[in-house]
Amino acid sequence: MIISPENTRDRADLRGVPGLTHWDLISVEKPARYLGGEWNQAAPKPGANISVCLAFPDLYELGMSNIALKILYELLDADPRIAVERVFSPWGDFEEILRRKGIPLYGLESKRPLHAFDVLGITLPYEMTFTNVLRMLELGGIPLLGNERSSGPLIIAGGPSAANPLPVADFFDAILIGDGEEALPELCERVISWKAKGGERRVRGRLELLEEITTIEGFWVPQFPKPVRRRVFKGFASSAPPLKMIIPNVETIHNRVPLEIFRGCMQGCRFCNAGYFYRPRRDRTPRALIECAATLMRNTGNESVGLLSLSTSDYGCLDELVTGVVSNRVFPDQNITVPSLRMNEATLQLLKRGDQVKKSGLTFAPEAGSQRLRDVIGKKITEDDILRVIEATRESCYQTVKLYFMIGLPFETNSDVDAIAELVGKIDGTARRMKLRKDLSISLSPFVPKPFTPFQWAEQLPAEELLARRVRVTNALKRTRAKVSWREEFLCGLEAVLARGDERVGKLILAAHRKGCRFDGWGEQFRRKAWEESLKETGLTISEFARERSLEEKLPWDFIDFRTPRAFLEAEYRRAIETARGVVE
Amino acid sequence: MIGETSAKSSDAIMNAGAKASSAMNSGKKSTLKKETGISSAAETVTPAPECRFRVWYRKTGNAVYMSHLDSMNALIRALRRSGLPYLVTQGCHPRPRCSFGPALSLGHAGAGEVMDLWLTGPIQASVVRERLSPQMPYGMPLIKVETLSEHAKAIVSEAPMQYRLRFCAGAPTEAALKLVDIFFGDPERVIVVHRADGTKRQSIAGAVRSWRHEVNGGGDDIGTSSLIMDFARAGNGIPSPSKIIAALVEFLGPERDTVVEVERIAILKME
Ligand code: SF4
Repeated sequence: MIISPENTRDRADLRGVPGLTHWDLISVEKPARYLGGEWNQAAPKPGANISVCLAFPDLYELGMSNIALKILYELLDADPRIAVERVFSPWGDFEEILRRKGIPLYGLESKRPLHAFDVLGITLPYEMTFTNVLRMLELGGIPLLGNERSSGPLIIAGGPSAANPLPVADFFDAILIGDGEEALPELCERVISWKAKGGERRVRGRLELLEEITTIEGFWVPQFPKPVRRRVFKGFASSAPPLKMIIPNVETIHNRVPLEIFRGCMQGCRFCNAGYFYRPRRDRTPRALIECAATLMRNTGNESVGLLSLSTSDYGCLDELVTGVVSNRVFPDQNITVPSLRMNEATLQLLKRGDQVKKSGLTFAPEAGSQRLRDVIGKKITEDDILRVIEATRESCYQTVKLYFMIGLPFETNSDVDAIAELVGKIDGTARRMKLRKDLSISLSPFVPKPFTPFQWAEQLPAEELLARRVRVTNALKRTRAKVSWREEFLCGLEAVLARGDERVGKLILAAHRKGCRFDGWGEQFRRKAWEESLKETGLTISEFARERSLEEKLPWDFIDFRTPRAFLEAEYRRAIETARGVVE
Repeated sequence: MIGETSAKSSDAIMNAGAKASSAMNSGKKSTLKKETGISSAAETVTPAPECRFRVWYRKTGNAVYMSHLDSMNALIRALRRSGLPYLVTQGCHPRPRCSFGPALSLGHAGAGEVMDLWLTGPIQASVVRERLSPQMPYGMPLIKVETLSEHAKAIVSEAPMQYRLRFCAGAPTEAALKLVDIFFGDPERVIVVHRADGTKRQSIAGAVRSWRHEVNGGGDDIGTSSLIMDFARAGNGIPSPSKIIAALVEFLGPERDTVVEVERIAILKME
């Protein structure tokens, strides 16, 4: 039940969660994470045919910034037959209360337990959330293994980390590969008619439904494995983005309402799974977007609109769009944020604009320090582009510039490693010469080979080697003013296992879960020892998944038609090899 | 409702714009002009005295678990959604010009919370109410809107306050009430206050002016009762009401679970 201001006298149900008291709530950090009731939350639909809970396996603050969740929530809410809700991973303090009091994890809207929904749809945004998925199922009163579930909600997954579904196959009833805008409503349609025909009551009812789901393009059903084709939402360009977004009751990482201006990115960087997962590129028109930006602000009262895409400076009509949003002003204090910039001409133009483009921080991803390695990985920027953009920040009030680099990229040599600090040194020098008082921050990340990219065959270097290279960079960076942060090598080794793994990896995730692993992506929460023990127990090693694969080898995920032919990826990999050997592309 | 609450101790509660505006404070016209936003409409309007408003609202239900900062942001978004022509502050990050009453601790309800806002021109308070009311965040219903003079005093955080501990049906027990008397009646009572700069022991002598046990009104409240506490102005070594209430509740031991709500029922006028 949603608590409306009028019925606050109903003390017994004050929090809407039986058993949860005021004192429980004030003992946890940010209790509003667990209560729902935000502006634009879906209204209750007592007569709905099915209930769907969309889950994000990380904290509320992160999940509430996730665009996929917003899209699917609004889409399902528009259907009067579907009651849609949300759930996020509870932090340890709240989990402890749920366990102690035997309260099952629940949907934020109605507070009904997860096991009482018809469908639980879990987004997998990054691999290191997999243990959180298991924890949510467990807290929600749902058996963890798909083949142990004969009733209860259908557990489905989607999102970029589900592109290779094998590592998580044990836990899900169906996994969507590709866009959800059409596939998820189609699945709901099947569930509605299955329920109407009494499917729930038939002995083989659940299996019948699972088999039926295999006929929806994009869905792969572990209990009925068949070849599957990645789903593409072809109508994206003319579709309406979510416009009645829920405004979180806890400050989130991004205080902006996102407007997805185009989907897909054809830059073709050879390491980038998003680039291949979201293909082809589909652009919304600036006219439609200008209107949407105004509606979005009016509906939410949020003054900041984020022009979102994988690479916003590639949007052909960026200037027209920004000008349009600025002149079609809704609030006197409104602003635009433009994340995902590349170092190109459009970015230079944007930096020169003095108007309502918010100047908080600029983030770029050169990924490699040397031109040679940038060519190998297909990152189309030059040192000159980078330095020009840095110079251009002079006219803007951007305070911080953040640069992302990867370590251990295929064919990386010591001189490529050294080139990172050299490049940062040049950037720092340029900033000093121009008396730019900008904070420079550098983020270093070990390379993780991902399926369905040209580098799916590439090796991930052993942790010790990655560490040695990282230390080499951080030592050299001491000569600059840059602040440096990095991702831990062992963690990225695991990420490679979870990304390029096969069916055996499910046991590893389960073992880690049983040893208490959760929030693995959260630095201090990460339990290395528990993961090491889990590897040992299951007889798996990181190196067997990190090794280089030969181009002739059959890959576990080859049964998926990703719409980019394997031959194309192979050719791209060969081109990278040739570039590395000095054969000009 | 604040109206009802204030009727009980009408001389003390600062709920009337006319009374509140009698004192002169900051906010000269020149300040206002400087803070006018980038909207061209805002630039041409000479702010009239009628353009400052005081919005009274409740904080209730699950909204009590929103932090003060998150509540302020939610209210500012409500103001934007209302379409009212608000003034904005200048600088790199312009925001609607607003000021808020003293922070409510996380978990505390409020029967009469306030937010002052500035609009670009004279508008009737009833219109402000009509536009703002449907946009108020869930759990923060609007009570009333008053027109304020530009010179009206802001409500300061050290103001004396009145709080209520609402008990569930059948509570508090005699023993619990005795504990309350022991807690407040001891002139030597000190409480432990945790702060960023360390833990401190503070005396609450003089902090609590009165306390009484009262049977709640009708409706859903029938059969329940509350503890009403009047707190003196905090500061100068006197701990804040929320710190004292936290210590009191701790003192109640297992009886604490019979407290279903902590509510600030009034922010009292400075003596
Ligand atoms: S790294 Fe960025 S620019 Fe390159 S393919 Fe991926 S999304 Fe596109």
